[in-house]
Amino acid sequence: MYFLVLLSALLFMAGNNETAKISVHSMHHTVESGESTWIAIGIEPKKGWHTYWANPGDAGLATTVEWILPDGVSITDTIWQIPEIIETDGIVSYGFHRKHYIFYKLATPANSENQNLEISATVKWLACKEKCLPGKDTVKLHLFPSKQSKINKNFSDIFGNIPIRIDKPLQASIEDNNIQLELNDNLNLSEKARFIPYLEGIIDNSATQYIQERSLVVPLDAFHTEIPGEFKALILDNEKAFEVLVIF
Amino acid sequence: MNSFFGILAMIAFSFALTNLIAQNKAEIDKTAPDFELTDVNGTKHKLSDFHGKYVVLEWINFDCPFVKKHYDSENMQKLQGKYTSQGVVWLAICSSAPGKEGNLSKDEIKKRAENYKAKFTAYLIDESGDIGRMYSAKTTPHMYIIDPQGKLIYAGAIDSIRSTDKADIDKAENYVSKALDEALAGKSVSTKVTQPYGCSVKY
Repeated sequence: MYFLVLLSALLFMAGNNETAKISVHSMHHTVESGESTWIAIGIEPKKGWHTYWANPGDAGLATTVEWILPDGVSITDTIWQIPEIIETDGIVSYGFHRKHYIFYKLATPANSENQNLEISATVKWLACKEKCLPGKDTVKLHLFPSKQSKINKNFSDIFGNIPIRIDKPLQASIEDNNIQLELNDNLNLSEKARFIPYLEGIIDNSATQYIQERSLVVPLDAFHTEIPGEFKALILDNEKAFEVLVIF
Repeated sequence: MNSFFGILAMIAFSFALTNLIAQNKAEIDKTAPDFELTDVNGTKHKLSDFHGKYVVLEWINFDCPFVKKHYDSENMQKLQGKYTSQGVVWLAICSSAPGKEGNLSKDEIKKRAENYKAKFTAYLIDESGDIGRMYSAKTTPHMYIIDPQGKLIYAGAIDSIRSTDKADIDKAENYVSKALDEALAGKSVSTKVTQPYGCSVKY
């Protein structure tokens, strides 16, 4: 027995603000009850402004999304698009000048027929050019039971520019105030490769990183905070990005 | 042969320069590098003049929303008042370059400080950004605490909730207050380093 869930307010419900425009998009027009779908939060900074990635770097603030989800609906995965490296007067940040998306995998409840499931996302961001301004907007969508299933073809246009996930964890050690990442055979990097943890406060964002004997050497921040035993990070290399799990 | 010795001399010079720069960078649990800056009233202040006292350094930019969060709510002034009344020296330092956000005229600085009823010991002007870079100051606010022996005992955020929202202040753990309370009670500081949050310093 299948139930279908209609996602209304698909493309798109949008909010507007002084520094950025927020929108919400869904991968499906309808999705089978009990199955998962992807929802994208779009953030379009106004010209000249930028907003921040999960780790904003030396300064700034990551964009956050606070969800209000009905019982049985849950977020099971999050993917950020690949950030730009933004350098201003020696301060290095990770963020976006362009319209970008954060993707959330949403698990829908089984047996959700005849329900109107309202999903609310409050997006908070900091936008900066020379000055910085905080922004906040709420977008909503509704899930209705339906027997019609339909993929939103436009979603494939935005579901891109995301990191390639590398399954095998990278072994790391700390030597002489550097993180040394052992590069495995699946990861052939150029000299331009840049390592960026999802967590703030670990690496020196403005220091030169380099490859030495199959290891990527990443200087630690002079005031680094406690380094967890494992954490997720991106390795940017030319136009690509790899998402890796680092284990000490 | 002359050129060989010339190259050797250059290598030795650059090595010495690198060492000098490294020695002048602030590090936790090490002697805080000395500096001299002029305040908004034209008075010079040298860090080493405050030897024997706790010193708080607060990187400031009155136009930054994170600084406004802590001044509009009077959180910063309350901290300044509480600790300067116990003999702590509180130095606000502005490293905004000329023409950049937060680089205000002296009259404007005095007006803002008066309107806010700011209780810092002095507002120091670091237009070149040299002292900001010496302390690796990245954000406004970015907070540092130096003990009476001149050792850097805290560097990082003002509190634990990274936002511009005043409503978060009461819910947050104030790292500066915690470190000062511990130090003033003769205890060692339990959280010496945190990740600062705020606007970038406008070097």
